[in-house]
Amino acid sequence: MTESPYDALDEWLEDVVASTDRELETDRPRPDFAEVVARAHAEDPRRVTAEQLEEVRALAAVIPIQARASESSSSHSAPLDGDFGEFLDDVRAAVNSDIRERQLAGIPAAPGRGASTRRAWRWLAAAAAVVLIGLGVGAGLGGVDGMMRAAPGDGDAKFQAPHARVEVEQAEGRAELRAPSRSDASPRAREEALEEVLEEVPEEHPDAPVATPEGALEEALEATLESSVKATAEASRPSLDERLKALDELAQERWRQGDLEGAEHAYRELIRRGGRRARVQLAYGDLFSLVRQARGGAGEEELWREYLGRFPSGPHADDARAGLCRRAPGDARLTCWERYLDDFPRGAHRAHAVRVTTSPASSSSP
Amino acid sequence: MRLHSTSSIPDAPAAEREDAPVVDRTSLLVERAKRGDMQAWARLYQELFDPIYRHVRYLTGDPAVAEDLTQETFAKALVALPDFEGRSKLSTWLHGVAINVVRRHWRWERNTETAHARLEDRRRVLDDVSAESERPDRVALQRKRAEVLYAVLETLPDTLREVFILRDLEGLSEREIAERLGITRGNVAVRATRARARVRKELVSRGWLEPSTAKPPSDGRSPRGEGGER
Repeated sequence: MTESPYDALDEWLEDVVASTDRELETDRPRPDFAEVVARAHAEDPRRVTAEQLEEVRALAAVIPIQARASESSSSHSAPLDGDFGEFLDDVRAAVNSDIRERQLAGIPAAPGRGASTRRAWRWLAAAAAVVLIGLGVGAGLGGVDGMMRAAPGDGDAKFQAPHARVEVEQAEGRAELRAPSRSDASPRAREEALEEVLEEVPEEHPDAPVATPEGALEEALEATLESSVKATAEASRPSLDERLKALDELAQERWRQGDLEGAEHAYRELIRRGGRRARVQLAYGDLFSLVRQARGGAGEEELWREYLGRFPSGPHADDARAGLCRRAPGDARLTCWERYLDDFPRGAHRAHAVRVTTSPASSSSP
Repeated sequence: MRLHSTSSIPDAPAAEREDAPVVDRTSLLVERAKRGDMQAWARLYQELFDPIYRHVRYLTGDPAVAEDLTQETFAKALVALPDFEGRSKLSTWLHGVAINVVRRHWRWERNTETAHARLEDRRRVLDDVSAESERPDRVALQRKRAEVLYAVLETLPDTLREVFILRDLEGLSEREIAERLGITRGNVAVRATRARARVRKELVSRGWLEPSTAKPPSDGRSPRGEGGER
């Protein structure tokens, strides 16, 4: 075979491609749509209005756009090697996947409310759907299947990833054990059935698992245990997880009916009783949207602080911190973003944080 | 942050025109986005971020710069979208916007004192041939070769540089490159041949590649096939 003078160059180029592809796989940036809209607004405020920017900023703060499912939900967790580390990665992926699927659920806007909330949820659903589909997460998570939730079937189902639909079908099937199916029960009958379950919900067990890596591990084990127990004692008293799930459905049902106060009460009850379970993270995710709908930005900020006080490195912490920084007044904003960078050096909003903290002139920007 | 006027947003290449309009999901999202629907834009952004970032990453060779320029690409596209007539695919149009953003970045690097100094620093990697002879582990070697190649590419005219990257690194066909850059396939072929010759010559002159007595093929193509597709 004749050697071409370009053979060596082609070998070289293959190395460059391999190096670049490896980096693209391992160091993919986390997109920040709010940052894009802010730039567009700065370039042409007539075409990209302040209202649009505000709309996106309000949403961006509670949308965890994760680069990959294997990413830890906590930026503080130390890396672990070996089988144990892989197992924890799976558990973290399951929790993150569950949160994304919650966003896929597409809770409808309350009757009579403006289109903004529908936009918000569809925005959330759309962003999460793409992330979920892109990541292909959810496979092989049978051990934590018990943590997965039922999603209401509604017009936003088109945004659901295939995996999410399977989970919805499975969860719907299980829900029939506890409550009438949607097809043959009025909303009121359904709510009554769920409220019966609510009355049975016990207080949080003092040893309730936590959603941190260690806690997630315990929870995964408990979920596995619960599934085996369920297999042998299907008719026995519902587990705490099942009751929390029922509370979750009650909250959504009320939300769907426009009863924001009632929905918030149900979520609050779930959070109070659920301790640090993964389902509590889902409830907080919904509460962010619900509170924004009910009480606007002030209520949202209060909830972000509450969440961060309880889960300073939880799955929503990155976005909650960024949301607070965007709304921090004056000099506090700069300090807030500096601390954000310290705590979330690879956070989704780091590009914005870097710009604010390195450009004195931009410290007045959100 | 670098923001530029949108006058350089390219028109859709004729080759991409859709003779029979098909109302697909992307088209619907585009229509919604053009009416100011931010959720539609968000969806498009999420779907197209990866390919655009990958494209810009290859063009720039720098992850941080690529991330910044990808954001800028979408920001400019967001502003310019009302002018997008749908004569090409949105992704093709966005790749065109990205190339223009990267070209501006290249010019900025050459014309700004600070950036020029950084550029010079990067080019110094060309003189460190010892790394090649030491043969570190494979991953490190590949990374080093990438640094060197991008330093060489910075010595090329932009017109050659972008064709070389699109063909020899991204693996696009001549037809795809022609569509993205709005030039003829013949022009792509000529530029690609010249670019490969220039890159090889530069690497040989710097001691990174062994000189060869064999005569290069007239088209300078790699044996991987048309357009160097992988």
